[in-house]
Amino acid sequence: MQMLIAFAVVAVIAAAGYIGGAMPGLQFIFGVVLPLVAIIVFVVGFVRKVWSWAQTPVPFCIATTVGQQKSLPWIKQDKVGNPSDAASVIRRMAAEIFLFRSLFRNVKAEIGPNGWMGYHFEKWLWLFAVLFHWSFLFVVIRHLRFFFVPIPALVMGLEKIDGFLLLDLQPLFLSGILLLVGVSALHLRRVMIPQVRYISHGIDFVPLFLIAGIALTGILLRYVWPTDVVAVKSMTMGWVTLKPVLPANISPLFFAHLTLVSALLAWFPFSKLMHMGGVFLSPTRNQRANSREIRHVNPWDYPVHTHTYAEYEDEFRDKMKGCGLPVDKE
Amino acid sequence: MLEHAWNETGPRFKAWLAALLLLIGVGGFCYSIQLGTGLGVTGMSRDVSWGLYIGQFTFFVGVAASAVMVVLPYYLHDVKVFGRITVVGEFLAVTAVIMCILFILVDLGMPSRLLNIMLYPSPGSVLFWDMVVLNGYFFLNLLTGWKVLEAEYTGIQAPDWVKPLIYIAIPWAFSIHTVTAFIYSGIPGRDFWLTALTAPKFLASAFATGPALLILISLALRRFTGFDAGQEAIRRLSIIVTYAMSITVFMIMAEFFTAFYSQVPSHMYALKYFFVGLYGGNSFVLISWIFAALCLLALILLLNPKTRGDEKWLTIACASTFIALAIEKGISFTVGGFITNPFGRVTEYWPTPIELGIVLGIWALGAFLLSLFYSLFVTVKRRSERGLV
Repeated sequence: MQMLIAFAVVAVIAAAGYIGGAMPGLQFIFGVVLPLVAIIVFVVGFVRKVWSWAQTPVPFCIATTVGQQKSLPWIKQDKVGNPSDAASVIRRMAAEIFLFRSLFRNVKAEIGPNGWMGYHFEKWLWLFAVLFHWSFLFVVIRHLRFFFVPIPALVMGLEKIDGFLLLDLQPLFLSGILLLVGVSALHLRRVMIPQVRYISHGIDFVPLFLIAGIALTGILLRYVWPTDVVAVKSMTMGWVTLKPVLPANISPLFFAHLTLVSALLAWFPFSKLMHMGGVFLSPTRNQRANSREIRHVNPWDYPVHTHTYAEYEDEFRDKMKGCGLPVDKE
Repeated sequence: MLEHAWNETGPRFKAWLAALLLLIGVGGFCYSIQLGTGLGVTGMSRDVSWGLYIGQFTFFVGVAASAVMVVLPYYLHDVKVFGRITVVGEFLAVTAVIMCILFILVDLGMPSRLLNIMLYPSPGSVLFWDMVVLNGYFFLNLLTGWKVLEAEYTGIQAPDWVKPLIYIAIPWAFSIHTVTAFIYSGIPGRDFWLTALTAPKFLASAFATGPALLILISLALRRFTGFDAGQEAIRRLSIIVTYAMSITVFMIMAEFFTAFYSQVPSHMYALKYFFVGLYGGNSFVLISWIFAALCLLALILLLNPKTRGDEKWLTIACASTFIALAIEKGISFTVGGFITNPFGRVTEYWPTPIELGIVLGIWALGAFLLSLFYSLFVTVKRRSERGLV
């Protein structure tokens, strides 16, 4: 049910974009105002969120570890799993950010017919996550062609690799297809595995539907019902140069695509999608696991008045001796 | 589980992988030249339009199919000694199929039109079916090999649906090499290939090549990783190699008889071209005699039980078998049908350095994948034998 509501929300956004794009009077709102507002909300929201996280004190050494800590010289340290110097932390972060290392380590406990328990390598989450995130990055980079004159060499080069395969002599951009495959597979995983479905809220389905909608409308726009790309570029360049123009012959489907993207951007800073910025700032990942090497004193420690045993004995020594209790110092 | 392919390896293994990566880079560079200029950078021409790439493709289809020579005895005849190495065979098949697909890719003048084979399928073409059976075989072996190894890793029996897939993979192995042979023998204009013996000969030579390679791999694994396939498994494999190699050589001799006793000109051209040269064309004379000498050497060493039982001689016999058949199927057989054309004329062919560089790159990639697969395999075996499941 919650999933259906999420679907309905996304469908309404897309329909609004489509209808808005079909009505000349509303085109200005959906083609200029909404995208610009979305970008502003995205940038400001993103910066504010990251800033607020950056301001949050991290007084404790709470790095999570998955390997042998630095110890005696003859015990081999797991440098990536349990980093104790800056270079290893960077390696760990890179493995996390580029290769999703912690997803790769995912295992699933299973009881076999003989009653034994075993752990097998559950790779689907990792595989589809990698597929999805990297494809999305490629798609975003490819779309930079709408915002630059001349188009950067990086974008052109990527397009050449991404669109190497031809579909009826037209480049077939694999990243777009893989993006849709990845997001659909992640969605299926959420729905089909009972435990994962149990912990899913309606809101978890919104980004999945939103991104699937963006990918689907994008694919349709490219291969099935193409729109006037030159007109689109004049519009996008209008945003960048802050001289908005509204070309005539852009199809409503493009407005649906654009509205979905705007919704994603505007919602981004307030959603779980902020893991994009958060992954860099997570203290369990970006700290050195050196809690045994160095004494970390909590800077907030309140100066508590203490009364140690030695002081206690000093105070009551005579009385203790008097009733025959043993004392440390004579 | 996958991380075990890497985590417990030493510096020597990493250096080996780095060297292979370098060779893959060389191959990639050569391919970038070919991609920019076109197939003109190869030795192929209007008349010889299949060269080293297609030859190598054919050869590795055979290697892929030969996994069945350990899987079939184990699952159908309960030959327990092969139990330890069925996964070795399956991973060899997976790697070989990947190499096959790459050889096809580099042979395409317009690789970007690759999808057309599925967008515009032509079921009347043997090539279309070859694509179908090769991909099917790839997934069958990847899935069964992976699941069997995973079962060993977790200590839990593989799911029930794996067994039927293993049984399906057995006839499937025969199909991939048969279809590949039909690509050749289905061409009526090329007499060298136009013989019903092509498919059986392909299978026989594949079943000599693959087990020979498996013996070499088993010996290498024992030497470098300490994984022992077992004396008995190697002995049985060597018998398979002996029979298959004898049958292969017998079939090649039978081709000579038909051509020369009956004096069929179009059948004699290619054979003459290979061993004595024809109309001044003699590029293949040297390697053809090397092939013949290696076949003879392999047969002598294999048929004699004393040398076959001795690991040193067996290594030489297996290497000779592998190299001999790599020459025959890996290049000669393919180009032979084109070099001598239906008019009895000769157009010479010899691979160019760029062509060789690309082939080298694909071999290196195969060795790279195989090394990682076997590293994973050996580590999982070691863990399960230590009771670390």
